[in-house]
Amino acid sequence: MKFKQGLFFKGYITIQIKGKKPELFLNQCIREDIAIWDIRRNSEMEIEAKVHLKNLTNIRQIRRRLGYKVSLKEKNGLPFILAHLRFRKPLIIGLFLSLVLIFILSNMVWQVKIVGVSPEMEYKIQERLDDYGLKEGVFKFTLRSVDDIERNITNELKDIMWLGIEEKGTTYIVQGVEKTVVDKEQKSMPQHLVASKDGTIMEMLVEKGSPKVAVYQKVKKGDILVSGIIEEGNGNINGEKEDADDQKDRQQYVHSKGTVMAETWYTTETTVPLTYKHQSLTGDKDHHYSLKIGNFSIPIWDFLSPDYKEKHMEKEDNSLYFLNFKLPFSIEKKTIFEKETTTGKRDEKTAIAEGIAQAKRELKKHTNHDAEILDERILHEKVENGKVKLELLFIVKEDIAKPQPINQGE
Amino acid sequence: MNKWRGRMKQWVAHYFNLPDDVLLDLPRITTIGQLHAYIENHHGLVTFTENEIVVKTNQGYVRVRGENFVLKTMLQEEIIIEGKIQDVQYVDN
Repeated sequence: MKFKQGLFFKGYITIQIKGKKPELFLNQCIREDIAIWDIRRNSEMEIEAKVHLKNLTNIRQIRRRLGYKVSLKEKNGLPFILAHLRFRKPLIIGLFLSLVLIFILSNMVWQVKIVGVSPEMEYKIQERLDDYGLKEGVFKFTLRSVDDIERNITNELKDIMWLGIEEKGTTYIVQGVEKTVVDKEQKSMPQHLVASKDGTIMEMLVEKGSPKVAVYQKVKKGDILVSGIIEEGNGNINGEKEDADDQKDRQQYVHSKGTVMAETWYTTETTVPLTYKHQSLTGDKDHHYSLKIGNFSIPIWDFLSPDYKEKHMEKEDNSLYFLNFKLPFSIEKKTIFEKETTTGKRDEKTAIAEGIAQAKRELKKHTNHDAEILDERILHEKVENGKVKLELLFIVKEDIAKPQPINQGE
Repeated sequence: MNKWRGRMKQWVAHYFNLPDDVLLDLPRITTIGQLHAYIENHHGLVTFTENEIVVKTNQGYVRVRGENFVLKTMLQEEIIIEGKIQDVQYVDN
């Protein structure tokens, strides 16, 4: 029954053969190797049969030779449906347009929902999202990667602790968690100020509490600088013994406050290479879009590659959707940046200067903003394998007071 | 000459255990209950009505009688009949 395979796609017809002895017509068909099936005898003079569409011309030739009357009764299969549709162009165009429309609309952002934050913060996030292009009415594939947007906004808005963007079809749900400013209930809690680092005290400014150390005194990490316990009876402890209860009454717990500037020492080691090479982007860039089907990609926009000497390429894949279904092709966005490599040499002197600057930058990260570098000294200096190895000492003036709550044991 | 050739073929078919229908161009009729009849190695259709089908073969004719006959398929080598088969008959020239 091989000839009956794919009947619908090839198309077949039902014909009526009229004439004397229609068997002869059938015999002729067999001789010409035309497949016929479902043959029915309607009357003495008439036969009905089905043949492939491709054999229609042969049938006509036989008809002419044998002088039978052959009429088409039914047309079946895809070729006829298509031929029929050709006369209904508006229908086809409408169907096509609606598919295109659905396709376009499926790839647009329809809603950006911001949840979990206060209205004020919502506005701020909205503003940022607009900047990054995530807003209603844009095409999904023009968007930057969601991870990037998340990261950037979390960095830019200080009051946001976490931001998650979830893609749900054509809706983007942005979920934010605000940093809740912890109420400083410790404000009234009694506390000491202790040293956060070893150092020599240079200046003291105590607003509250009783100082336990003096200027130019060396302190170690953890030493109490300003005590939160003030003993009122300080004036008259002239040998008189007082009851323990009494003493406790006279003690007053306060929230000590103040700044204790101290000189602290830091030793760091840095190495600076004598020859350097670093790459940077010049800011010139070129966008390329292509349609990707499996591993095959067809460029859509910008076919010429820019004549950059050195390039840095970033690829981004955005899937296309039809309604909620992910289509097997995607739009690939390629961004090509111009890259610049600078190489150079420096002598020992500049290398040392560079090393010191580098160490200073590093130090700034580890100390408070009000820290001030008083002096720097090179303890050790060595040139090795084309690199300068430095051991540096920094003398820094900074606030070392660190609050420590007093446990009243109640 | 022709007769001698036919005998020779028969002998070959017999001694080499070959199917006769292939070698001798004889019709092979397969029926499935009363529903279908497959006639292979035919030489053309002679009569086809609802109640009777006559097919030409190498030697003579094969007549199939029954009710509601429909030719399911008609190819150069094979005819498939569908309907209610009542009898299959060999008719000489």
